Amino acid sequence: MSEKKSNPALWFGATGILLLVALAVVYWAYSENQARTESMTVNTSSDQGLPEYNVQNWIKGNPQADQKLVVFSDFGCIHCARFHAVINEFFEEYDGDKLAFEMRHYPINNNFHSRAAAVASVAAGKQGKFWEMTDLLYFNTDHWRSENPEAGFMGMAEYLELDLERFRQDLYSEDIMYNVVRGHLAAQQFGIRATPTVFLNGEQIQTPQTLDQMYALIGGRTP
Amino acid sequence: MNPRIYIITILVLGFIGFADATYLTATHFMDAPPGCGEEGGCGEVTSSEYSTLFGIPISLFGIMFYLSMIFMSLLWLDRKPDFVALVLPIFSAPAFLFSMWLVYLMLFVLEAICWYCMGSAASSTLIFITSFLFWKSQQ
Repeated sequence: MSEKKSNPALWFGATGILLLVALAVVYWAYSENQARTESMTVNTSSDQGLPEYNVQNWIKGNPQADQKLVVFSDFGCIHCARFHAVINEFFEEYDGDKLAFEMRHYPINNNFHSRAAAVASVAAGKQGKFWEMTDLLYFNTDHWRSENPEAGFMGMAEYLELDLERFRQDLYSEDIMYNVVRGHLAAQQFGIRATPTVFLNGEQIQTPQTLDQMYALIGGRTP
Repeated sequence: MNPRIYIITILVLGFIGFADATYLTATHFMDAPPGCGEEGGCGEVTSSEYSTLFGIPISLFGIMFYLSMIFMSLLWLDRKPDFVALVLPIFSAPAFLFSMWLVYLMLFVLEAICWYCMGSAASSTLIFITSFLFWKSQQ
């Protein structure tokens, strides 16, 4: 050990710089987040510009509504599930006649069975329970992001009282799987890269994170 | 080479890494994906199941690592204790290996790249190399 005296200026200086850096960075992250929230505005342009492909559309609300919200989503993605919870909350109190909410599969994490989950949702949709299955898939990912996803899907089908034999057949149906892949590829070609990617009336928007942001977008808070 | 240069390099890298990790931690707790352009996969990476360890965001471990590197560098600049030459590589080697694991996850498992995370991996790699060179220079 050397006999040098301690140098407090060095320590105070470094601590000061650290505090400044931390403050600046946190402030930056905060203001960036604010700007993102504020940039969400109501759009009224047409539905043009979204990829068109020949797969069944899954629409909640009124398909003929003027306002059309489209999400490209993955059952395994946390932010998608969070957005889906906001959508559910919104439809609980909002007049479902005024909005068409469409979900398009974009199973970005194939290696966690999320493509299989997309197929499972369509298989349930064939028995009229697409949205019920969608809720289960989003909020119980641990049941199917596992070694044996089939057991998870079958359990959900049983819970929804589906025809299990038919559901299992659809789960392995090449037709459904190819449709999911076709939709995914078309969206990829169109330029979708991340999930959730949300479009309102054909314009890409930042994903609404709260009920208030949904109302800011769609307009009209109902009592 | 003057060993001071190694230590100052580690100090600077530590500050850069600290700023980076603080940003990632802040966005984690604000529930906002870090902004990284249209093509970026930041949200995909920082919201993946690999982004936390024991419920703690990995970037918080990053902050602690960079703070310890900064502390060790300052300690050496101040009093030049011999053990710093040993502690720096011993601390930064696991951080380097862990960073490589995270880079592997981004490239091959998530297939989404978050440049802030890559930046942190780069700075911890450089810290490891520099601390190894420093240790050699002190032999």
